[in-house]
Amino acid sequence: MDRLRLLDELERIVGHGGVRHRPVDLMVYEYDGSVDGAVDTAAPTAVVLPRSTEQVASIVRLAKRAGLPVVARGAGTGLSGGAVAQSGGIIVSLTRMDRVLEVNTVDRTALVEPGVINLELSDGVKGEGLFFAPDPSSQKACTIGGNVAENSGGPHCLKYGVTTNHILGLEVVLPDGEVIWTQVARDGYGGLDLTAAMVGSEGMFGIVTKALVKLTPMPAATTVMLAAFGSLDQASHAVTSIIAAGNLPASLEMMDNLTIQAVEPAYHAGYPMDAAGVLLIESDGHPTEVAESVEEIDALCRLAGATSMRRADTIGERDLLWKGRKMALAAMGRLAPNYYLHDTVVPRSRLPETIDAVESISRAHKLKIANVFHAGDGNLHPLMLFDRRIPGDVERVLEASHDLIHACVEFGGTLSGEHGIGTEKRGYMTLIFTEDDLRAMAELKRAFDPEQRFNPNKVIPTGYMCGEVKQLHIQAMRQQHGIVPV
Amino acid sequence: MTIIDSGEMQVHELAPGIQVREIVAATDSKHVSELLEHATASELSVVPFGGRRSLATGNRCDVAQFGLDLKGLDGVIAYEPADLTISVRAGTTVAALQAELGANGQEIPIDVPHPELTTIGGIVATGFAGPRRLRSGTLRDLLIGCAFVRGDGLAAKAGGMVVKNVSGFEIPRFLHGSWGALAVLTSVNLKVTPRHRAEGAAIATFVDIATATNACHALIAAEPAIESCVAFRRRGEVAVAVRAMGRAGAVEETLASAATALGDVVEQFEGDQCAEFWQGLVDRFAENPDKIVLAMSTRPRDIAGLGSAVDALTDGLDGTEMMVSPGLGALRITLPDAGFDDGTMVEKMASLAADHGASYVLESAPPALRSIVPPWGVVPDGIDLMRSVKREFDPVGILNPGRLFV
Repeated sequence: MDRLRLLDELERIVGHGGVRHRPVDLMVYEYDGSVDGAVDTAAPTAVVLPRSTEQVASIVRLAKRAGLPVVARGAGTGLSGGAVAQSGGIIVSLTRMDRVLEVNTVDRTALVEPGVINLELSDGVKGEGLFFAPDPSSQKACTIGGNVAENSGGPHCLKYGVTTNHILGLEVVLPDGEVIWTQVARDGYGGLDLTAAMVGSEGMFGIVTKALVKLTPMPAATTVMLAAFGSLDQASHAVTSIIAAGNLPASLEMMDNLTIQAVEPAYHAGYPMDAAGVLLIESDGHPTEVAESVEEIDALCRLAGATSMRRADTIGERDLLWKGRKMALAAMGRLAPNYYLHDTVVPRSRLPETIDAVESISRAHKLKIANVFHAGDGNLHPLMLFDRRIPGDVERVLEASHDLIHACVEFGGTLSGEHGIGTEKRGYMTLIFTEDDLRAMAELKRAFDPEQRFNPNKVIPTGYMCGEVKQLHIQAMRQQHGIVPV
Repeated sequence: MTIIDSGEMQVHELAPGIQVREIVAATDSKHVSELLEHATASELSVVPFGGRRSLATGNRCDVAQFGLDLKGLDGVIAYEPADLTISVRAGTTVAALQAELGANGQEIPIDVPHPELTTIGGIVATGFAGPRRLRSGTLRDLLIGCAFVRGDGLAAKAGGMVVKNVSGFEIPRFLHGSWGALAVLTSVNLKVTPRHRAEGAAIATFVDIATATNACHALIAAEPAIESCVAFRRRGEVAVAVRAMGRAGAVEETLASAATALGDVVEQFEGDQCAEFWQGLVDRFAENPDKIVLAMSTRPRDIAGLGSAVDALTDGLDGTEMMVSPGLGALRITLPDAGFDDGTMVEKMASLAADHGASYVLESAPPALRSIVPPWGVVPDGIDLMRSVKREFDPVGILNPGRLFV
């Protein structure tokens, strides 16, 4: 099918205002939130903005006829290249499907379209005493559809879980254009849990056109604490002792001095500028439970060497303490023009060693690295600061990234806790998975998408999908010898 | 299990309606892989089992070649209490697992029928979830990784040992509730929680299921700290049971406030007695070879209507009991085999489910009844896709053939 005919057919489906095809209009769709250099940019053939499930299904059927790849896209805030059309094709932007269709307080569910913005969903239901628990840092912009694709997390998943724990069903357009509803495994249901397969499938299994999401009751009481420490080691030991004592706070975040240097002058949240690290701890639940837990955590932090403790109970005070954390990435511009935000996870008990490793890597590659952690989950977000205008900076960052990922895997961790594999970490998959592991994943994908047209060239490493096992061997060897595969 | 001489050769009856010609005890995952590879090559069917607690669920099948006994594949692989994660072989009983965790002040916060018999692999495969699902979620929420062997013998793993992981596709959670149709789980990795320090329950009587159900809805809305809340009809009496778990002070206050809201409190339990009461309830309404057990699922907003209809249909019938979990939209009914095995009552209940937009699964029933009433209810949406997945995992269809939709 030639391009003009394709555009014509797309306009027939969504109308003239729903198709982008001029190069200048396509440019903004060549990127997502990922770092240029770590992830290639690429132009789609066309971008289409449907408003209904029927339109999405028609677009998918058209793409099938034309033999074109399909890449679903929400807000494009993803950090691993998931919404970039690496192999060209049609980008289906779900941003115009942004309605909350129903909220039911007895069911504690909301039925939403994929373009609904994460924070706006929570804001919309807080009047009912409910919220949508997964709260990634990008929640002011990211969409529910994107959250489903990446199985997004956020600071509150320590207690509340990640996106997959909050999705009860999905309306999905499959790669052949069929529309199905997926369910979750439960009493009284006798089918497969296709919802579990869809969440975290990075746009490779189908396009979500509706999501039935679980809403969580707002806790009766919430307290936020800020504990300052003279060393990151002490801070991470405080984390261990809090959890070992049987507390599972709603949130347990850590930030290092470099991060504090960025956020405190910007937001004046009250983070001590001379602290080596701070812990931001949120306890929520039954008021009596929270009160007891807070006292216990306070004592444990002091025992671990906390130099100061602050507490916030009112929503204004809590929001201010949180601002330092939630706006950390935005504040990085004060320190450097560019950053590469990493997303690795290690078992909690390995956190102290991992923090040391990050520091070694920082020294070895002469790179400033600011650290923001979901300490309770062992999910680190080292921010490598650089200036891409300086020759050699990007290369140093990529080399440091390679060392970081290897170190975390050695400590028993994984490649990504929240951001997804996309294109960014695809080359590292053989570090943690065998050929058989990858084959099982590739063949599950094949059941959904036998023609391999949905978000191709993501997640599963190069050459694998064609069964070229030899290429995989070569790739694994490259990794062992320290060459960064892209 | 019974050994039946069917004339030509002996078969082992693992459960009513599930017969196999030979039993193979799995020694390790390599052994499982070799068996399944051989079974696929020779087109021989396999029924994997652990505690045999749920084998009677599903369609009647032909005699299978192999019963794969996974109970010997047990024990802890890795457990670091400070990480709040554990990796355990699939044949480990849930009781053994909870004991190991309990010794370190931890637990997996789920209800399991007969935990001393039920294996962790089995309970993951069946996707059972009890009243604790209300606040603590299900095993699906606790799964962070697994090792498995596909029907074609491919041994693989997915996930890992960390609580947040988006590396690769979510096979572990996808295998939850897949009833041994796609793969045999050989080990699972779970996130665990600190063990609750205290627990308590309050039981209050009500005049009928409808009122009891609505009381549950009101209570759940008012008290988010409630762990479980069910309405049940047993021996002609209707009651609501509420459970609170957590720190002692919070548990006491939650129960006090629940008791005030419920009114006619006839019994209160705490600690071990509370745990025993709830275990008894879960066991009573779980799959049982001597009873007919039906599980239904609908939206919480519709459960009162469904509950009333089922109540009206079965009230006064000897030996019938029901339990409703209003916050989950879940309902369970048990009937004695005797007097109901012609299928008429079960057919009526299946119709009721359809009328109220509910799905159902016939968890236990005599084999003959399972040919009259479809055990898995209506064909689920996405069945073609499910069959495509089945073909990828089990190309020849040797795992539990005929037992499920796929």
